[in-house]
Amino acid sequence: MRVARWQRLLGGRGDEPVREAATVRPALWPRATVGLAALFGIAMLALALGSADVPLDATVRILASHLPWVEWDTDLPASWKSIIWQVRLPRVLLAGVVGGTLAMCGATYQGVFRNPLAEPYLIGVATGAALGSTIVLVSDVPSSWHGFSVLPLAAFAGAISSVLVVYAVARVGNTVPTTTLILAGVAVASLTTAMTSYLMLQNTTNTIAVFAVILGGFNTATWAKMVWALPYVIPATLVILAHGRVLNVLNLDEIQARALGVDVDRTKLLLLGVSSLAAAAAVSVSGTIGFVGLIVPHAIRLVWGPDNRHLLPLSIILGAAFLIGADLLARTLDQPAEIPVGIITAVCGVPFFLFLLRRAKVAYY
Amino acid sequence: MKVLLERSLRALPVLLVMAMLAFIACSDDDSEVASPSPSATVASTPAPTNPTTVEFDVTIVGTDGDELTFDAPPERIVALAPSFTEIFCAVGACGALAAVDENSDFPAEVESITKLSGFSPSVEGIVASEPDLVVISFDPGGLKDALEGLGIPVLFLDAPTSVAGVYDQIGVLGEVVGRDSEAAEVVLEMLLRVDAVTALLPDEGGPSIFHELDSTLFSAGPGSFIADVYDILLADNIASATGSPFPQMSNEAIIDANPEVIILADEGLGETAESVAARPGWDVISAVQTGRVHGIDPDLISRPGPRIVEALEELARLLYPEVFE
Repeated sequence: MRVARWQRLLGGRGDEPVREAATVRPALWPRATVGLAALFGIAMLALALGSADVPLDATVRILASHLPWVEWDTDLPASWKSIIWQVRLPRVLLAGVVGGTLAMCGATYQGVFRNPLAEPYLIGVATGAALGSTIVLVSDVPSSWHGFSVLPLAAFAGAISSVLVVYAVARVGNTVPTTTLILAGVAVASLTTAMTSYLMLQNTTNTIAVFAVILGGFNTATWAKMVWALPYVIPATLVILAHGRVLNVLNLDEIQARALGVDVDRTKLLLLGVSSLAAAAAVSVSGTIGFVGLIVPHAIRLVWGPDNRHLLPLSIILGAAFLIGADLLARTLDQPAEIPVGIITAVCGVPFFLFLLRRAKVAYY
Repeated sequence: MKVLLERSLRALPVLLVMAMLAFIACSDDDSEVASPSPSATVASTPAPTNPTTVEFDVTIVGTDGDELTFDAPPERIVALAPSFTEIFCAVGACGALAAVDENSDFPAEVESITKLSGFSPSVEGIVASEPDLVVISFDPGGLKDALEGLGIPVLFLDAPTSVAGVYDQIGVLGEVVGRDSEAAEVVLEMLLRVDAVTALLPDEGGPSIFHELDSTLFSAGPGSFIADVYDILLADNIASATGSPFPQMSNEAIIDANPEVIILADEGLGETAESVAARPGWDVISAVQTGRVHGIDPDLISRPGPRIVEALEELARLLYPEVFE
């Protein structure tokens, strides 16, 4: 941080690589520890609270009983066991996975595009997924088939198709210029949103279900959805985390990055591909949830600086904590009814973000 | 006048008197309860023998508070909700419908009537039907203002919040088309059928229920006519605790409330007793364990029209099989 400040004072942007970076750069682990502690605390709170009044000790006993050789829950009501293990725990974990994924993808898009507005919505991933879900909801295809929901598949297909269209349109020769990519993304996002709205208006009987997809949420979170999302999210996360340093270089200048031996186009394509895959998986299990991919990475940059080697892991940790917290409010503020979680992320996240933005009176990006 | 009408419809004896008066008045409007109306004097004039000689002067107040006055019954009506279509046809005014919304599919006579979108209505499409009255329950994008600007009267009737509100809408729409006695008959028959059901209900009340509108667990709570049907049936609606008419219930709140009966209004969306039983954590719910997960025709329960009483009878059979089988 100290180096960045000096660089800014000397007229730089504050994120120029420093030759002796390893000696000056603050270590990741204290920040990660703070983040993980916050994540753990908020996850515990989310597991302990809910519209069903399960006592804290019963919650702990039910969770512990799923460890091998522990049988502490024999005298507890079956409904409590169902609520904690089948409903609340998968919900908290899924909110964490989706929050971490969206924040990580947002940070990646912002780095790759060198555009502070980039997030899963910008290149049509989220809106494409919403269109896919809507097509299933308004068509005669039953939305669940032998208890297996086809909605995630449809959302995924919609997300991937819009990303492919965006790529195909934005590609100029062998390169994918950032400006055309973002323009194509915005255009495809508008198109898919328009199609979703049209289908929704055409089909009044399923309007509630379509609204639920557009607003997003975790009310019907299950272990099955976790199992569905993780095979896409985990590899994508590993690939993105391995590219923290490369993203820093890309952030400087593409010509400079080429000079440093980075295959810019291939790297951009790889990072966009895996983050779109992860974001599509997240949207397919939760619907579209805004602001997480935008606010969390920017908040971290404002507080801890733009180094992608820190930004990416911290985005995952704090994105997870943020969405678990938002979902906790979504299901408890108006219990036993639900508030759409997208409203909570906007109402809680945006003022905090604006506060940070106002406080950091320097150009931070 | 509307409030008075609604209040009078709540009590059967008052309704009987009113129905009799309506018969005497020979299809004049039933504004005996609203004496300031000049037509009340018409009603009290000695028995008119020919209905056509009766001066038609009806003033209706929409739920948005706007007044509409008619000096002749409208003959080209555009009804933009299935419940309005069903009400007009129930009072025998099916022939006055110039166009209906695309979801109107009952009774069979409406099949041949022009269909318009009720959810994103086209002003042009409505005007092309040359209506002398448009009835809407949803006003997207200033539809009412646009039509009124073209000189077309628009009656806005919000979805009723109770079954009594359904009676009220039947009364209002019957009055508009000069068929208040028919409307009174329809309401009277509904009241008698509801009475026949409620007379048999056990004093101790009924089972706890969860009414599912869709698989993301939207339900019907206080302030919706659907929840009122369950209240009339003395069922314990678990969505009552939300205090909101169409709440999305928390998954764990449903498991915790442990409803004895689950009613699915979303069978058309692929939900079945089996798919409900397969939901993680729902196997502990009483309704799932005792096989009391039932579907109901959403056209009956979700339309605030004359057939709501059929939904009530069907639900009575599902909630109290020991009484109604």
